[in-house]
Amino acid sequence: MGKSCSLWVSRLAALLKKDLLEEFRTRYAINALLMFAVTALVMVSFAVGVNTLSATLHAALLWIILFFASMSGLGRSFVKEEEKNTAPALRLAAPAEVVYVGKLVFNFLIMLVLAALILLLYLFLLNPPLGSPALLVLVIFLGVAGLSGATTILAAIVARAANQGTLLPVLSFPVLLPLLITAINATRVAIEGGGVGDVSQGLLFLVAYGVIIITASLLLFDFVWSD
Amino acid sequence: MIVILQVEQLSKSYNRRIIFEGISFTMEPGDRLVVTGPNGSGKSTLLKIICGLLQPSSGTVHLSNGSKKMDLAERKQCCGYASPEVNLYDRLTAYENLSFFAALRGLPPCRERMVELLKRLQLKEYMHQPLCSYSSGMKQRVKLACALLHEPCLLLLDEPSCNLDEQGRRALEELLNLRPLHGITIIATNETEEVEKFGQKLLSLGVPPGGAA
Repeated sequence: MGKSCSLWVSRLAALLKKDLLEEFRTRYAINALLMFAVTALVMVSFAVGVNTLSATLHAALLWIILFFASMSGLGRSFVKEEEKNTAPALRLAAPAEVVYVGKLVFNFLIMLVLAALILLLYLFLLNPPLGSPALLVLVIFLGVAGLSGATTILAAIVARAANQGTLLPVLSFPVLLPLLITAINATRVAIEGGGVGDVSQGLLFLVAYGVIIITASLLLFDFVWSD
Repeated sequence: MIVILQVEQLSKSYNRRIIFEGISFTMEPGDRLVVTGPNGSGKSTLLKIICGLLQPSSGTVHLSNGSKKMDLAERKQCCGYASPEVNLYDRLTAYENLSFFAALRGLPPCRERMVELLKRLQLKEYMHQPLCSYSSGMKQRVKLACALLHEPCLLLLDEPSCNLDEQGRRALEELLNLRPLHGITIIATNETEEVEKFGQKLLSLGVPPGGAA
């Protein structure tokens, strides 16, 4: 049991190291995500101008940017394996669940870095009131975990389709809608200065969403990944 | 590990087009089989089915270790596979590619084995350069190294001398001769020279019904 567990972890570490090394050398995902995020934020900032937005609008804008930024970059994790014909080698050498978890952790790390950058830029450009910074960070952390979990499995499905570019946001939207609505609501509470108690049900939902989507993905991934 | 490969009544069709049907053979430890046939006869497809990358339309593939039949995951772990259709990571170096696949296959640290393989394939001087700077022949050599890295009991090579120069072909021949005596090797090729060199057994696939693809 211990040996198989350590083998599993070392395979996961190898996959993660490979993805990070490739990303470090090409900077494809991080550049795509960052370019989208910066462009969207600057456009929103110009559009808003000197007007004051409500907490609900701030929360919605932040999560719309996070959603579309994730769509523009995270889908590549599997698409590049299929496009460059490296997927068969990966299918032969690694168990499916290792591939899913490896890609999930990679996407989560990329999204976490990006969410931090987007949040800082958003605070700088739009200057929203920030009642509970700790709660806001917690909401974004949980939201990004669910977002990465769902996007990773959907990216694996989309990677084998023809119109990959448009398919991921279309497929992701209904799956991510409950997460986005809850995250927007919890972010609004954080901006208004509420505490954890005011949004405890929302936080529980975000945790449950992440656990369910990742568990279901682990169970289903072999069917998506194998022929 | 000593294994026996049994292929029974294997058929594959795509969209009702039959690629091949009713293929059966058994391979004992140490056997070498060369699969030949015209384009579209299903040589590559047969190799993909044997290693578990594709599902057959009907029929079975069994790899057994003694009396125990291996499941699909075990069969994949036992296979070494190289094909022009399967690429390695071109942003990684040859050494990084081999290290990555060694770790995925759960091999203990094997730097010496990796360097030895790359040396035999005349890639030692280039092993720390990314694959994107390699020629097609050099990439093919890395693929062969990757397939042989874990000393697979079932080695499947699809057009192994594709893009290889004379030196590369000699290195390939040497490596195949160094295979463990109990290892099973299947090569899909149309090169007459390879059929003569490696073809202990020969399987000729015919033109599929409806003509070549």
